[in-house]
Amino acid sequence: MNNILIIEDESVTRMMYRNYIRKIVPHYSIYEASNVLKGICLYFDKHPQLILLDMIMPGYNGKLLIDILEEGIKKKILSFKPKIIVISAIETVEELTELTRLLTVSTVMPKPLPFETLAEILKIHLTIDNINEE
Amino acid sequence: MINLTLPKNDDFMAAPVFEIEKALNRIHNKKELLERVVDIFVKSLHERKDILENELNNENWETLGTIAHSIKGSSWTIGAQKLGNIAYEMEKAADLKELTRFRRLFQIFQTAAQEFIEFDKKF
Amino acid sequence: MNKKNIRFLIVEDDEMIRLIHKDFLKDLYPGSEIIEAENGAQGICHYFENHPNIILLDMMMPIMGGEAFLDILEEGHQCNILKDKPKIIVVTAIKEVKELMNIGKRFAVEAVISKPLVQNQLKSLLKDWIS
Repeated sequence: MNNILIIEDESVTRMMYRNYIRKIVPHYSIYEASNVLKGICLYFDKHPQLILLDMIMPGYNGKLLIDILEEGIKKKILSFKPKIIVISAIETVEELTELTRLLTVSTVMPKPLPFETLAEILKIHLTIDNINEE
Repeated sequence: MINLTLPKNDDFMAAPVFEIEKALNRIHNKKELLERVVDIFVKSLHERKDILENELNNENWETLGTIAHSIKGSSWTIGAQKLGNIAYEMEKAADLKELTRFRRLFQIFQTAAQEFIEFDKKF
Repeated sequence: MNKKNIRFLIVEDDEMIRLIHKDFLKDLYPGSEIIEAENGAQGICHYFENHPNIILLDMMMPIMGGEAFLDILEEGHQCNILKDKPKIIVVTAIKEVKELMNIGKRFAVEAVISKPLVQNQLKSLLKDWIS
């Protein structure tokens, strides 16, 4: 089961991620959520190997998903642990340290996302041998 | 709405300290369970008192309100009506960020908590 | 719902109240499974991982409360991702009537009970649902 989940409220940004990822890993199914509530439900339903998580969204923000997964890991409730790439316009070192200290967060990427780096990150986290880097 | 008069111990005098009968009723008269439950309650009172002190110094109103709300719920559940009523007032004061009022209520709460513990020891 | 395969989920931050709920449910339904969560975040994990039939849900909890818990379930239901619909009984120390009424209208909420919980209320509700 090869799934990736994108949680991002801006539809144009979401589309850009989707199109880019699809080129790199065409054999992966990509799921999308425009808000973190839906993202949480999709996580439990589809068990994506990788989650691209926008932190700043209207309504509930990305922290909700992270809190749920942190608690789930702490109490050994989760049957499946994804890797989370947090996308955030980090302003301070404190913010960065706080995020990277978490068990669930694999990588923190800046916003706007540098797409060249995304290919590298996907390669590492999905441990794929050869990917289409066009 | 600002409360101009500060609360006093007497405001809460009418409420019972510990309605053991009611508590027992709620748990089907299981005395052993009541003992366990009271133990946990007293332990949580101590813990929450410490947290309240810390959060009060930092004026973390959201946390103060949440803790007061928790104390309210568990106090009423165990039949500690007086404590629950005081916690309710604390919760309201936290919502309105009334520092002086909260501080005074916290003092009253600490006295009442001690009262409960003594009461429980006797029975 | 059959009393032989009932699964309860208690989402409540207060240890004492969790204990009282658990004891009560065990007495009524000795064959049932009872799962505990200290907050809404753990509750959501347990909900999706273990599929409880009946949930006792507190509203105010640290880290994540009942409001967010209900919001997640509601969104899942609206997007057709949720596979089942549990029965949720909210047990809360909230006193404001308007708030209580709003909670009562939420997805999957069957009843809103005020703390301190009067167990006979809970008993008659459960009796209606469980054969």
